[in-house]
Amino acid sequence: MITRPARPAAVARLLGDLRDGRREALGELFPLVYEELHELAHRQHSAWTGQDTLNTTALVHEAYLKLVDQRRATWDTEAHFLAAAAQAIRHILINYARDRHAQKRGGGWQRVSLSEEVEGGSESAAPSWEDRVVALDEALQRLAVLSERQCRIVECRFFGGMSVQQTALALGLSTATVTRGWTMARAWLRRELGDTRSPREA
Amino acid sequence: MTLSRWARLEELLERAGDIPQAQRAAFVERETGNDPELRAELSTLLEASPGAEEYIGRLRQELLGSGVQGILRDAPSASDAPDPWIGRTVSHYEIRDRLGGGGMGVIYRAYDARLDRLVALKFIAPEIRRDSEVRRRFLREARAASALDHPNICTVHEIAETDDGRLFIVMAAYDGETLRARIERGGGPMPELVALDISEQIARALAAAHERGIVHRDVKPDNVFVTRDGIVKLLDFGLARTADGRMSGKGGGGGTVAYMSPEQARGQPADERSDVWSLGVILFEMLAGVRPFAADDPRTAIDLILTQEPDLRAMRPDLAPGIADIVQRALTKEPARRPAHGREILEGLQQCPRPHGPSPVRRWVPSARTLRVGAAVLGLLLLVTALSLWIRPDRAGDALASVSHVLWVDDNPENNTGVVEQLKNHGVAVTTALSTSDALQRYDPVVHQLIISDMGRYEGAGGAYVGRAGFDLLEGLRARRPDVRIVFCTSPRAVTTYRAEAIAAGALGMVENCEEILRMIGLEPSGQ
Repeated sequence: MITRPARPAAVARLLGDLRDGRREALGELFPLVYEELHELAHRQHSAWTGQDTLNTTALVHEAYLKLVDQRRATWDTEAHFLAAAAQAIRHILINYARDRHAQKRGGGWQRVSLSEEVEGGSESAAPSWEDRVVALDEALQRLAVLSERQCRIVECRFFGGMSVQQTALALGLSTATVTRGWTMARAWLRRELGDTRSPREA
Repeated sequence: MTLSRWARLEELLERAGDIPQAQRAAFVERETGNDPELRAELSTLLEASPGAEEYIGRLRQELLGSGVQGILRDAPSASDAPDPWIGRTVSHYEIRDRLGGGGMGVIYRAYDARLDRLVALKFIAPEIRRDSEVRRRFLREARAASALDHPNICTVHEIAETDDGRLFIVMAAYDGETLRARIERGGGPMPELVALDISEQIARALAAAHERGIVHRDVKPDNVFVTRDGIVKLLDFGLARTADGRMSGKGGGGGTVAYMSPEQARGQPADERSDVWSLGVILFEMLAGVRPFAADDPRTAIDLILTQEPDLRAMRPDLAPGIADIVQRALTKEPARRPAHGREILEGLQQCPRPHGPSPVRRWVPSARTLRVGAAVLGLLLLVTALSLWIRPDRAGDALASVSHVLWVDDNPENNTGVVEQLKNHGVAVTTALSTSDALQRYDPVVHQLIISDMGRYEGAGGAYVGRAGFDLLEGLRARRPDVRIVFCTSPRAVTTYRAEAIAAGALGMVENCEEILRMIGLEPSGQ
């Protein structure tokens, strides 16, 4: 693990590599961003008294300010950084959901939080948050086999909250390609995840 | 579904969006013709399309809306960032975690279930498996290089492949970090003694390889591993030729280009002299705190490599004479005029006088003056660095100028009679001790300004050999006097093994030729 003080330097180097077209650097950037997000969230624990007041986008933005020298930042460094953050957030969500999922199914004693008791047996009613995150991740894994590109687009747009332009910059695609891929991926995900609500007619 | 079918679906879906609802069925019919599978796909996607944007927006709100920081706080540990390889077993290696953070590319720590030991795994670019000729050449070279047996070269256990034909190298696992991580951790110029020590160990590795006609071709801080004990291990011998393609292609990051020799930058073949150049770049970077040819993009970096003459002396006027000369010689543009062998650089480095004073390894931490480098114009960088160096306090000082009484610890004093004689001739008193306990008994913090000791010796009543006796002595002495000054004079092997550790522990130096100590305390050795 790269320790905290060295992280901005490592991030700067990897962003430079990405700018030079070394796409594998994204995989190396992602754990650094992941660690930074993790630490930021931990530091906010006391200040935010358990309420998730700060949303995901703000957290990513704070990590960005901490890790990237703003005087040297360009549009594409921001896009590359956000793409790594999007990946990190996908992994954070899915790991957490899988852990909770396993805990619930696991034998032995387990703590049941008050809110879960109040909500009642979530297993029998609508699928739980955990189940839905796991289902989404599984669908994305299938999508990656069919179209790696669309999967990456979903990561950027869905988990990273990135604009079409930012996604295009980060993935080295045209905005038209991103739009086309995103349109299809949305429909595909909706079909795969079995949304039964009637569509709002255009 | 094949890729082209997916692209076709994507295109049809986009076109269908522009077609009025009433005409869509006809459109689907026409475009999918006699392909019922494609028709089914397109129809169901078209059905899902109208509400998809709204659906995804709602899903995003429901799954992500409350933010991830609560989840992050609950997450077990920051260090186990997920990685697809971790947890997998390839051959009989169970992949445990990444080694050295993000800086090392794909190197993993793994458990060798067959031999019950920890190893390091490095996966080779997947392209290699496609071309059998490239693969044969790679294996031939990697196997030749893996035969190199040297304390400063990473031991290669085997070259193996995954079930789907991906090649990987199994290496000895060391505890430590890459030189790249270390440089970044420091954030500025490295103390001269540390830089000399690291580069000397790299030069030892290169000298050994060059003697067998093996050229590294990709010497850079990412390929230099520094163990926790301060031992340098050069990685990736024999792999670099396969990297040539990467270097010249689009994938070549600025990091790789920065250490290339001019002949490599021109696309000419690399030989021993290219390794010498790369070591020169590393030594420059360690001493100056900035790369000599720093640029934002590879093209500019190559321009700088071919045209710029960086001047280390101007940036580090405080350096001991000799070291800047070595860097300059190593960075000679014309290969024919450059030292042709690792051995030559090694000898030059060994002749460099070691700076006096305590090595500040432990104090070498990022400071407020940490240099932010990389993006600015080189000239400006040089100026900034020079300025920050001018205001650097000279920590080396003249610590040993006034030594008048030495405590010399060695179980075999005959080894040093010549040097002891010279010390006495210069009016320096010498107390001798044969063992650690003997030395601690004789040591007088007020009288002895310098301790000279061997590292391993036969000690105690049973006369057992204690390989790290010098470290025990240092610890005992430090209990009496925290700023005790010690120099180890010991075998070349012990110097290789322990030097960095000794310096990190606060020793002033570690030498294999005791006459060097005379120079350190300001005396000129005379011929024996």
